[in-house]
Amino acid sequence: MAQVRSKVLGIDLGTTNSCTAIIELGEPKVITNSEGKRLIPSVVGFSKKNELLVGDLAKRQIISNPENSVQSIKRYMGKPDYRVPLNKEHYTPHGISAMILQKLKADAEKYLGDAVGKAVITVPAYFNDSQRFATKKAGEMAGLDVLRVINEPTAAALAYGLRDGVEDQKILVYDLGGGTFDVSILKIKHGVFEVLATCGDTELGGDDFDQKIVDYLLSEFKEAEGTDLSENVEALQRIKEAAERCKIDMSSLTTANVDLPYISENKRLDMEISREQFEAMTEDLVNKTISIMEKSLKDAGLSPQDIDEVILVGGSTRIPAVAKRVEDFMGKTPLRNINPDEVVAMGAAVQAGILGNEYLKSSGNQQVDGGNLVLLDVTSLTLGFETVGDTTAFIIPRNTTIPTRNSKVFTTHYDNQEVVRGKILQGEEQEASKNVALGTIILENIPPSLKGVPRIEVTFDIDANGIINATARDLATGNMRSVTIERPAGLND
Amino acid sequence: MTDILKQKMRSLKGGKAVDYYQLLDIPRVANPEDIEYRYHELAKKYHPDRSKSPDAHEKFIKIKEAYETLKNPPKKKVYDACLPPEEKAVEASSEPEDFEGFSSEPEDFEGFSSDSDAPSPDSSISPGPDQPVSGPKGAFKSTGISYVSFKSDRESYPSGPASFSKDTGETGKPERSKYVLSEKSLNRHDRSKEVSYGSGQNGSGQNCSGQNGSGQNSADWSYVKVKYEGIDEDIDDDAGKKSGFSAGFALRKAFRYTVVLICIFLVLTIVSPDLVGAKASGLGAVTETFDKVVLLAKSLV
Ligand SMILES: Nc1ncnc2c1ncn2[C@@H]1O[C@H](COP(=O)(O)OP(=O)(O)OP(=O)(O)O)[C@@H](O)[C@H]1O
Ligand SMILES: [Mg+2]
Repeated sequence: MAQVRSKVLGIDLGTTNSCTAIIELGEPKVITNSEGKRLIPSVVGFSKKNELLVGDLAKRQIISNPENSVQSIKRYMGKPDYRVPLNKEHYTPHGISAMILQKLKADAEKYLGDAVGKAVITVPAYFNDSQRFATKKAGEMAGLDVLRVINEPTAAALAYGLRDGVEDQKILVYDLGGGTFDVSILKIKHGVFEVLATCGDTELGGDDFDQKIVDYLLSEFKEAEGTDLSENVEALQRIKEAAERCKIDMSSLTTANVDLPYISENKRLDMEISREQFEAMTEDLVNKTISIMEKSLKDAGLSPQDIDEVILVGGSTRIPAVAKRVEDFMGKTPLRNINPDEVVAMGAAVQAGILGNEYLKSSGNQQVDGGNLVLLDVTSLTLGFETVGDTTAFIIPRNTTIPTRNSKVFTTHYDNQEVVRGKILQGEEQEASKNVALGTIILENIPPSLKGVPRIEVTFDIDANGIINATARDLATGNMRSVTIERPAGLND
Repeated sequence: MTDILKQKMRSLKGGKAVDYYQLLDIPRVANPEDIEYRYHELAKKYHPDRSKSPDAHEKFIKIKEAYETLKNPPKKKVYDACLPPEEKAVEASSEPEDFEGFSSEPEDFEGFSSDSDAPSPDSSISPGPDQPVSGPKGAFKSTGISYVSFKSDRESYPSGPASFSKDTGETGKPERSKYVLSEKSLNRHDRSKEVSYGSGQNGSGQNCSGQNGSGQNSADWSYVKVKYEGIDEDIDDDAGKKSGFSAGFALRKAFRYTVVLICIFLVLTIVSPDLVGAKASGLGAVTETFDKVVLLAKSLV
C-alpha cells in the first residue's frame, strides 16, 4: 500500500503569493501555515527591532516601514547584479526568495510534524536559464533539495489532469499572476502530459494593472492639487496598496473608491474609478495576453476550436475583463471549479509524486502509481549559437520536448583560422546580442585550411532538468570542447 | 526539413539506417494512433523522470526522434522513402546500435581517447582523465546543411596560465576534468587585441565595437567550465592523417556524399520547396541550401 504521505513538497513561489502542497493519500493537499492560511504573501521585511518578517507580518508593515520591506522579488530573479538593500545589508533576489522558502518549509514541517528536505518548485514557463537557476539556488539556500524546477502552467495542468474523466483532451492554461504571464497548451492522453507549446511574458501581471491605477491617481492628484507624489516613498506605497485594493474591488463592483487622507501634508486623495475606466486603462495589457495566447496556439498548430478546456490560473484572472476576453477569443467558457491560487502548488506536488514514484489517485478514483503518468515538457526559449555578423543560428527551437539534442555544422570565415568561438544564446532574436548569452564555446587547433572548409559541429543537449550541455567538435580532427553552462558569479552569492 | 535531412545523412553515412519502426516496435503500416500510443508507452518507461537508468536520457531522445519523424506526415513520407527495404532493416536491427543496446556498447566511443594524446593547445591546459561524451557515436555524425561562419578571431584565444585556473569545486569528480576559463580575463583580452575580419557572407567587415558590446554583455558570466577532449584517430600522428586520405577512403567518402546528394534531391522533389525554405533555419533559400550541400560535398570528395 501507498505511503500515506509524500516526503516532497510542491511549492508555488509566486510574485505576490506563495503556496505549498504535498501528496497525502494519493492526492495533492494544500498545507495550512502557522497563521492558519493557505497562501502567504511573498513579502520579506525586517521589523524596527530587526526581526526577520516573512509573509503576512511583513506585508502588514510595508506601509509603516517601506525601506525595510521587499515585495515582488520574483521579478528580479536571475539578475546577477541586482541587490536589495535591507536592514543595512544587500541581499540577492534569490537570497530574499530563500527566506520565503524557509518560512514555507518551516510551516510545512510544523503542519506535517516531520522534517522535510525535498521540494519541487515552480517557475513561470517563460523563465530563462538564469532565472531557473536562481530559483533552484534559493531552494538550496533554504535547505531544500530541489528535485525539479517545473513550469507553473504545466503544474496546473498536472493537477487538473488527475481529475475524473480527463482523458484525451487538449487544454489551454492561461496563467496571469501578480508578476508574470504564461500560456501553455497540453495534450493529456494515456497518462502522458505532453506540452505542445508554451509562451509568455515574465514582466506582465497584476502588478502592471495596479501600476495603471497608480499612474492615473498620481496624474489626477497632480492636476487637482498641484502636488507630485511620485517621489514620496510612503505616499506612493499607500497609493500602490490602495490601487490594488481598488482593482480587486472592481472585480465585484462596478465602481471603486480610493480614499487616502493626509496623503501629503493635509491633502486627501479621494477618487472614484469605474470598471469601465479601469478596463480602458488596462486594455493594452489584456490585448498583450491575447496575442501571446494566439502565438502559442499557432506554435502548437491548433485553433481555438481544437481546445477542449480552458483553465484560468492566477489571481489576475479574477478580473472580469480578462476572463471575458479569454472566453471570447477561445469561444469557450473557462473552467470555473479550479482554485486559481492553489492549483499550481498542487501540480508541483503531483510532479513530486511522479518523481518519487508514489501512489497517486487519478481519474476513475483508482489508485495508480506515479509510473502511469509522465510529464513531457518543452524548452520555452530557442537555443542558438552566435555566428559572424551578430547573427544567431538557431539550434533547438522553442517548444521542443525535452530531453533533446540537436547539432548544426559551422565553418570558419577566413583562411587558416585556427580558433572558433561563439556564444550559446537563449532567445528568439535573430540578432545575437539581443539574446541572453549563457556561455561561450571556444574550439582551437583547427588545422590550417581555406575558409569554409573545416566543419565544426556544434551540439546542444538539454536534459530533463533543463540543464544545457554544449559541445563543439571539429569533424576533421575530432577535437572537441564541451561546455556546461556556468552561472554568473552574482548568482552564486 | 533540415532535421530530417540530417537524420538521413547521418544514417546513410553511418552505413546503417536507424529503423524508427523497429525502435518503437511497431509495424511499418502502423496508423498514427498506434504510433502515438506506442510513443506514450515508451515515454512512460524511458523518460528520465520514470527511469532511473543512466541511459534513460539517450533512450528517450531516440524514441522522441523516431516519434517526431513518424507523427509528421511530410517527414514520415521522406523518411519512408529513404528507408531501406524491410529485410535490410531487419538485418540492421540485429546490430548492437539498436537503442536497446547502444548506450553500453564500448565501441560507440572507439574514436575517442584521453586528451593526453591530443596536442595541447596551450601548455597551461593540463590533460585530465577523459570522459566519453554520452551518447552514441552516431549522434555526433549528424551533419546539418546549414553552414554558417563562426565569429572568430586569431588573437582572442588567451594564452598564458593566467587565463586558466582549475575549478577546484569540480575536480573532486574524477570522471570529468573541467577547467575554468576566466571569461573576464578573456574579455579584457578581446578588447585589447581583437581583430575583426570581414565575413564573405555578410559583406562588410564588422568592427570591434559590436564584439566589444557583446563582450561586455557576457562579462557577467565570469566562469565558463571547459572540458577538453581529444581524439586519437587522426591526430596522434601525421602519418595516420595522411593515410586516412588514401584513395579507397576518398572513394568511399565520395560515394557516401553522392548518396547524400541523391537523398537530398529526393527530399526536395517529394516535399514542397516552401516547406524546405521555411524550416531551413540559418539559410535563406533552397538554392542556398543546394550551394552549401554541393560545397560540402566538394570539400570532402
Ligand atoms: N479578485 C481579484 N481581482 C483582481 N485581481 C486580483 C484578485 N485577487 C487577486 N488579484 C491579483 O492577483 C495577483 C496575484 O495573483 P497570484 O497569487 O496568482 O500571483 P502569483 O502566483 O504570486 O504571481 P506569479 O504567478 O506571477 O509569480 C495580484 O496582482 C492580485 O492583485
Ligand atoms: Mg502564480
